[in-house]
Amino acid sequence: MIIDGSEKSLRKFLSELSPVDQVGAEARAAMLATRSIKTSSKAWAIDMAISMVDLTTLEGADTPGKIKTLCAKAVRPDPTDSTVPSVGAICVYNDMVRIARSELDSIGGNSVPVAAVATAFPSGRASLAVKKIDTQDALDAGASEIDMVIDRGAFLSGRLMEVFEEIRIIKELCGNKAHLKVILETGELVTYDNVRKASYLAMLAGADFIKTSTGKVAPAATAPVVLVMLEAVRDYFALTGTKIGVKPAGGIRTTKDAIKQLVLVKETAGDQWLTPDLFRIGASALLNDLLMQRMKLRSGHYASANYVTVD
Amino acid sequence: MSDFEYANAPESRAVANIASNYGLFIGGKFVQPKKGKSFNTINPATEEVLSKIGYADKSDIDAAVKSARSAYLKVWSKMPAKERGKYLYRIARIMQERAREFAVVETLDNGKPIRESRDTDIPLAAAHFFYHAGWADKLEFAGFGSKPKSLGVVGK
Repeated sequence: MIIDGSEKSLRKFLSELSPVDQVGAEARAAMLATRSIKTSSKAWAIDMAISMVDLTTLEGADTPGKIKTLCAKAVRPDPTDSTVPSVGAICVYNDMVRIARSELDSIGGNSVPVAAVATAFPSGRASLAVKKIDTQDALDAGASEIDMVIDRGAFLSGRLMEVFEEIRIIKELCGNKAHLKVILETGELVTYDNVRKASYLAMLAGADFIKTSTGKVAPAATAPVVLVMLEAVRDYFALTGTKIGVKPAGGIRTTKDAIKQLVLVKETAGDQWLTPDLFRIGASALLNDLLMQRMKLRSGHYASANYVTVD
Repeated sequence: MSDFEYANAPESRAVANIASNYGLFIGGKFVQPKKGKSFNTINPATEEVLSKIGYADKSDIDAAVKSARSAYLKVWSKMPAKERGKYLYRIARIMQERAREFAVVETLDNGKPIRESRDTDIPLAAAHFFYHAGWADKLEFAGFGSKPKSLGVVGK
């Protein structure tokens, strides 16, 4: 173990992390965004990106009908083409988990997990007791992935142990039943140093995935932030031998954006992270663009947005 | 996972015209070194020989300095500063015009990423010429006194 679980050792470890070179991180992310991939690799990249999408709907206006449509889309993103892979997961609010699970199971999507956003998403402003109940509720409804938010207020005011303990307790609840994704909400963390610190804090506390943002705060998953987080999982792997996943969410809307993310992954964490087990993209509009680009690659024609489902 | 491959750099090797042999540039033209010695320059990525370069000895250097000194005495030292500046500007412009070519040749020769030679080395070299071209007719104001004088031909 890197830390012994005490506040002192946690603080010592986090304070000894090297600071992020802001200019360097931004320049590197911008440089990687200019890399273009071979046309033959594009087909592979699009299919990979589709299988990494966490198809998300987190609106107050969500209805069971909408969730069911989304489930159908998750299992078979393009109804006219059975070679399109299923998406990585469906990401919904707690009350929709049961509906999503039973719908997925009934249409042959047993392998598609349902992720629930728990712990007083998106603000994280609730007592620990409420967060625990929130999480348990999602687990009982059949969620196999929990996207929890950290208490940014506590993190920013230096109450690191509080954040650590919260993640640890939620992870304990999840046990082997569910994967835990920890949302750092990088848009509120202000600096890259904080992003690095929060990434390590979450990993040490037992996160299976670290996720950039809720999608409710701008800026969301900017390239330098994803770069810093990918570096963190890479270094954590070197340190402990444990592979932690990364999930950028929010603001990734086009195939081009998605491929840029894949390049970031390949160049930072390495090829072994190019799998839905270790990299997910939280998005809703992205899937349609991926499907349209896929159609274009196969047929040579651009389809209008009318040829993909509205969600 | 190796299905994920990057496209080739848009800078084609075909733009690079490299002769099989380069002599010494003395008095405005390439001449062979007097003793006929040369060395190879290679592409570090493939170890392919790019070209042979003339290897100068003392007598070649004497010839080069002699020729440079006569050019200095007869032409450059008599030329008004404004005119000298024009030559430097012209060199800088030609470097910019052929920047793509230079970048490819530079990368072939030293093996660094094309991004670096294309975005840094070649523009920087051109910028140096622009900078000194600008100074040519303003040397009196450069802090060397009211009548700055050149040293003439120097070597290193």
